[in-house]
Amino acid sequence: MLTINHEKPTTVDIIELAGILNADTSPRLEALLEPLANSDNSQILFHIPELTYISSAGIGCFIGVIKRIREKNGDIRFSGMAPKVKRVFKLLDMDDFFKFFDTKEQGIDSYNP
Amino acid sequence: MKILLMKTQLDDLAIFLEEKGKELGIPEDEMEQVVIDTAASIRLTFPSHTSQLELIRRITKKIATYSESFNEENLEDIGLAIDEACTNVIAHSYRKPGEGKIAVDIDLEPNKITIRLTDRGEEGQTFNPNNLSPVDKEEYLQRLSKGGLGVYLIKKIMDEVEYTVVPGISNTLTMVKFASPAKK
Repeated sequence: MLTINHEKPTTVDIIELAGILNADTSPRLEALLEPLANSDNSQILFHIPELTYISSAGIGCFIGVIKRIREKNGDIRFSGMAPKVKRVFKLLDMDDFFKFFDTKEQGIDSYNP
Repeated sequence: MKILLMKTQLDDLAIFLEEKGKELGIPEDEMEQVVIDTAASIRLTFPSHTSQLELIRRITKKIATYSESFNEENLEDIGLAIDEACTNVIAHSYRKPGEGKIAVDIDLEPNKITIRLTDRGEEGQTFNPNNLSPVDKEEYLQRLSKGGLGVYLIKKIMDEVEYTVVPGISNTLTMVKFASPAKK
């Protein structure tokens, strides 16, 4: 129910998610994010037009690592998020906590001003 | 358990109403005010495992569509609420994943859905009915990362949320969603 694709063609970790992010599928994403959270300068972009649903467990994945990542001069940003997924971020007051972009290119470019 | 009327029985009723109305000489404009509403009760029982969550979410949304009164946002909210509620039950009430069952009771009325989740968990701390809103941002983020904000979310998106605790026996979470007024 969750497909994860992780590429790093340049300095940005581009992670594409397809399917759903709930309490069942979140652990896999947590496992992927752990090493990134322990590294310096993790510039992560979640390009997720194919993510159709997220619950608080899914958002908890990002929150669980964001402090460490930002402390090490990295960040987690999002591109291509569907409105119904963005809505859950809003409900949890997390829409000001992250940067959201329309396209993958905009997301990548945001790391290289 | 209420018995659901079959569609064929409902169609019969509608025809019966029209025929008898004419027979009895009831004026048409009065007949137009006669309404049949029906309701449905369904109980779904699932193994208490996270692998069931998406199935539970989808089937609950599907059942809600039968009322034909919920809009897309209502349906998303209903799905999210049942997911968050079941996630809590699975995470907190049974010691080993996969042990025990979750019973989801759904009452569907024309503009209203009532979902009841009952668990007979041993720990008795399933739903934490006294889950107050977190006091500061740090605590909020902590709770969010530990999956502790499900209840907070449910209270935001459902119209009525109630807990009934029978000490040492069961906890029942009742969530109600009313259909939004039609927007054009």
